Amino acid sequence: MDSAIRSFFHVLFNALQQGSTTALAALGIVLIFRTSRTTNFAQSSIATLNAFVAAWLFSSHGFSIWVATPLALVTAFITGVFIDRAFIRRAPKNNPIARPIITLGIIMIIIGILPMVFRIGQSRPDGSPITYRLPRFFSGGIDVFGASLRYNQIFTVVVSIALMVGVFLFINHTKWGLATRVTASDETTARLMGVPTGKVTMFSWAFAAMFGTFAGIVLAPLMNMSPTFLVETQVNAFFASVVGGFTTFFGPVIAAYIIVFLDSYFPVLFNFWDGADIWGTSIVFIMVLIFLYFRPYGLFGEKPIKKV
Amino acid sequence: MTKTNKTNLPKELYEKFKANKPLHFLLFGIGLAIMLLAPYYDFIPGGRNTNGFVAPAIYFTVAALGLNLLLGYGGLISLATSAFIGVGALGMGYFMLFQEFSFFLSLGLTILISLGLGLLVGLFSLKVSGIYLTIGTLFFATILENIFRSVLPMSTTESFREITFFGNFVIDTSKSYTQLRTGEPQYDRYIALLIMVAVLVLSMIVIYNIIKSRTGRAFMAMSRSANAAAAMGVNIAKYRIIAFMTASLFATLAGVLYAIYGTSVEKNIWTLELSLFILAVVIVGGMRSIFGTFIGALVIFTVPNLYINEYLRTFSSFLENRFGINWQPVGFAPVFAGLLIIVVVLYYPRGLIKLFYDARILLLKLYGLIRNRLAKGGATDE
Repeated sequence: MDSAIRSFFHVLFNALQQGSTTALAALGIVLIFRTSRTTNFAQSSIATLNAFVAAWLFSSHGFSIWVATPLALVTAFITGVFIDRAFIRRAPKNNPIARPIITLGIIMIIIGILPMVFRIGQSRPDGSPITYRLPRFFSGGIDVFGASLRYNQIFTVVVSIALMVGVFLFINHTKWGLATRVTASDETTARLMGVPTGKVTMFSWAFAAMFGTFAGIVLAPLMNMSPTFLVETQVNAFFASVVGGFTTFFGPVIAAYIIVFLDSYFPVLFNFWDGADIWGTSIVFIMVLIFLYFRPYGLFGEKPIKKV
Repeated sequence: MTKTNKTNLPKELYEKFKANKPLHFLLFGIGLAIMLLAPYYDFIPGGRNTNGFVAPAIYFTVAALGLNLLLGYGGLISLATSAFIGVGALGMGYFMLFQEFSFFLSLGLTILISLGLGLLVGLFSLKVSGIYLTIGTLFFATILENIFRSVLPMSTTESFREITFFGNFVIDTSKSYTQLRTGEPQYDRYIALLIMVAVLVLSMIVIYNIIKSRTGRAFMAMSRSANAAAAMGVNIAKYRIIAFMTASLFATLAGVLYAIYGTSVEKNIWTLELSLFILAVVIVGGMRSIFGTFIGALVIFTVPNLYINEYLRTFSSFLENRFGINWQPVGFAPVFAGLLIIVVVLYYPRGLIKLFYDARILLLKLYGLIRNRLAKGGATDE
């Protein structure tokens, strides 16, 4: 029983951390989808690129993580603005699949740029391989029912939730938030009413890139930093956006926690079954697909009404 | 009367030939097959075996044709292409190497599995549409990828040595290629290439027939507006399922061809990246164009590996020798494909196939200009 409680708490802390990062990524995806009418498949690629900027500053130039992170967030901001200005805004308006396809092209460019610029997987002249890593913000932790709760996990969860609450307050209670909401509901009318929709979409891209990058930086110490290390988070974030419904800002955030908790607790609940580890993720995904089959627009989403 | 008939005969034949698209595909296949003989007869500068670079273009074109049907005609983005190619390659590998079934039994079982999975995606597409559907295909791909990684028993060491098609017809793809000049050429890999070209031509004809039939027109109607099409009496459910099953079948055939030619059964390469490369093939070559798909495949899969990487390597060694900068030319192919996608979507939405059309218009314009100038010049001279 003691071990059950310990594993329960151990999984809980990890799931909270993962859920928070996934929710941040999902919020970024929904923010872009709502304001710029683009499904941003490149969310995780942009985040990976900028997480590598942070890792490069930390590993190769000896910056502290507390300095490298803000610098990486600045580059993320620039990346987001650049992508919106250079590509998304120029996309033909009459073709609904043009913009998602452009973001798929951005993924490919970033996949190629990472080994080209950061030389991942290559070796230095002296033969040692080039690797990147990022440390945790805080070291150490406390013991809760035998499971260790790291300070870094608390930090991640608190910052993520603070960011998300901040975004909700911003969207619901400020003038710029109002601009975001009207852009999300009807861009053309909003522009006619004098709302600077161009700036709204630009800042959405910039902030989405920053959210993704922050998620990437806190996840980096937990895994091996490779060009694909955020793909799983991205897939989960998309899952969350679909399950929560693209039509609300809070739906995806809630769905992100639900999915990560299901995914994390599956092997714990079914630990009597050998295949739980192997099949767990697939079964959770299949369950969600079946859920989507019956509720195609998600938990909180509404069916869009379209004129023929 | 008879005279005019006689003089028009070549023109009539030409018109007939122009209208007979399947014949074009057949002639294209024969031409391609002859061109693939080039390395054996030392027509390639430097004596390289370029077939290894053209082969991916051939088998990925088959998959891209299926995606083109979905994307160009149906307006549906599928991100599960690579997973379905994986089903083809790994299915053949599993049945032939681990169950030791015959080639055709394995082929039949693999195709059945792929059609079943295509049916599932199709059924899913009935309820979910637009961007939700694209993300849904991404999940299908992720689930299949997970299953490949953790369930299938393959490692990178297993590979096809000999494929027995029937009786004495055996292809040993492990035999290395030899040029006629240097020794007795080994034609086993060439026969594998011929099979691939045959499948390519066949799939081109099948896609052409689908597009020109009632089904193709239904796809077009659906891509503009599913509701409007349904109001005009198009059975959306039926045609969506047909579209997804055809696309998955073509992707699986591409995987089977990969297994025949590629000889090994990798299970870690069927990722989103490959799906994106295939998407790039369709976009860059030209949506709704069959020859365009092949041109796209050549540009995306053959050109970077055959030419550009070579130049970049030369450039990199130049940098190393001259300035002592250690820069390695990696990751070029995806950047090239990604940039092409974006440039084509933004500035050339009909794809590279339109280059031929534009070039013809330009030539005709130039021809007209020159003729006018000559006519004018002649007039002043007199």
